[in-house]
Amino acid sequence: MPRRLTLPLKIGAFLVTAVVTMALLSLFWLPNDPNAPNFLHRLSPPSPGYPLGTDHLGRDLLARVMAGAQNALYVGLISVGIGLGLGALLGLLGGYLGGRLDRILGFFLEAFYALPPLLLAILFAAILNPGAASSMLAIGLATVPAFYRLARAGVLSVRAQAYVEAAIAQGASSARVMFRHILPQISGSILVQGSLAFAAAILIEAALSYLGLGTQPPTASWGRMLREAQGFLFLSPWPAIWPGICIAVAVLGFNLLGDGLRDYLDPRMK
Amino acid sequence: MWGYLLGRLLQALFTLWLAATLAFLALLLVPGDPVQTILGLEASPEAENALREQLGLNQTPPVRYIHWLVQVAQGNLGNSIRYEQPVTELIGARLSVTLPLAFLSLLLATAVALPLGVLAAKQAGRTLDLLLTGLALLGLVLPSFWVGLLLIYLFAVHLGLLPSGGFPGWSSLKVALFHLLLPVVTVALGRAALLTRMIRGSLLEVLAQDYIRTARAKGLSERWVVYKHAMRNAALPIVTVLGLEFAQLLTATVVVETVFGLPGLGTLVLTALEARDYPLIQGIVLVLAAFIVALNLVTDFLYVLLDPRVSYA
Repeated sequence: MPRRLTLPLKIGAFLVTAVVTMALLSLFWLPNDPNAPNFLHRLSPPSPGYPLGTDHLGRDLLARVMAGAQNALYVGLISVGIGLGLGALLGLLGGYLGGRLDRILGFFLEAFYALPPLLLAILFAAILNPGAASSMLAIGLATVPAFYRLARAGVLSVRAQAYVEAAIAQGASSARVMFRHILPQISGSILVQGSLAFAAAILIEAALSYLGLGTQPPTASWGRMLREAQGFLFLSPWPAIWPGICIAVAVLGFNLLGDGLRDYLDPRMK
Repeated sequence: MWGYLLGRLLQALFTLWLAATLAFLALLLVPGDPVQTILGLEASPEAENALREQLGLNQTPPVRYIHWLVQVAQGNLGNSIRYEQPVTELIGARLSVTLPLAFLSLLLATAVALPLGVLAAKQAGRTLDLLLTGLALLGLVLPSFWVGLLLIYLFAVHLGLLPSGGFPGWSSLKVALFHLLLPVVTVALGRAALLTRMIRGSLLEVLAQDYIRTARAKGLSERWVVYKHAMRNAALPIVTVLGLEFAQLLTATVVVETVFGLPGLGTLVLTALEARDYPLIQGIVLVLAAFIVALNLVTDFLYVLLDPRVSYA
């Protein structure tokens, strides 16, 4: 069956590109300083000077939303990096080596899977003080079991194939078989899971920042912006609208990209 | 079957132990002196000593750990530093908001998702299905707290129909439900979206099977075929993921409580974090974990009840 560029994949790729472009652009150029207050233009609606309006301190919402994209991608990258790196490594080890190590890992991670990221975030916030570090660590560790399961299942199905047996028969070390022969074979499904986990990470980080457990001021984050906007909802809805749209677009983008990639990489599955 | 359930029970106890241990580590790993972190630098030596005594900090960590596990097993979570009350009492009072909010949301989500999921599955590929799946996807990607804000803006600020937040207590059921309406809708939206997708997907697979064609060929009504024949099998994969769903439900509840300023566990844990009230933080984390674990266990029992074919040796 030919590989197809499905509609979800196209839309997902487009939305993700838009968010990434916004984040990259914000590294070099911003319409205004996202942290500079302007007390003459507080809570102003969209205008030529401020295309998306301003917040309660008169800060440019467009600049803040762009800087927020940078923050969302940063947090997503680090936390998915933790979850993917640790989870895939443990899954490879457990699935390939098997035996007692596999059983202990499985039991421990299944138990850990029951604890939601919010719970871990509360604990890390209690230890480290609430901040980007504690929330990234919590989200990252909470996603480890999902990557572990996926990698382990992948290893079990690939290990029995002839080319892996051939590699072992040639005397390849366990590490070489795992990383050179098995890992590339299962990297597609891990990539798909990575995209879905990225969407989840952006959503959870926004929730944590909204609660005050994530990114701290003055760093612009979409969740934090919504928290600040709520106090002025009676005066202006604009500060509460844009960050929400950005979160939804980013989460939708990475979700569709993940779904689309799955169909693209494995056309038999549908 | 009993072997399987025993295994699940052991797993649940292990998760609880894990949560208790992580909660213990939270206090142990605080950099520097936790007493000074809690009381600040200005505190008198007497107050510091009293708190050190209360938290058991003058013992070695292993002794404290054993002591903590014994206390937790007995259901004693210590005293809150900020409120100077037993943690269990504080949590108990807040559960009267969190549990109804979670339960009503789940109820509403199920009541909405079941007919919509069935409808989407039966109309698979047609306009109505596309519309419903699109809406469900939207419900999944919209952050609950943002939806809450928009609902507040629309119904409280703009239309002035519903309260923007707060909770007057249960003395009047009508007033209480009035205040819970928007929060319940907010929490339920995301849950309903997920459930609709799961019911649709699961039902679609079952409806394609031979025994369904047989049931239809026998002349059974479509309603009977879908709800009696198909749903029972379609429910299985849904029940397996329901355990994870409870954790998400509790998470959404905790977040939405903050949006609407409801005095539940979520707002309590944020206050506790701000006050560095470690016994209270640990207690809430444990209680939330216990709820998730208990609901997961119920799910496992349900699974066995629903699927008598499989023997779980």
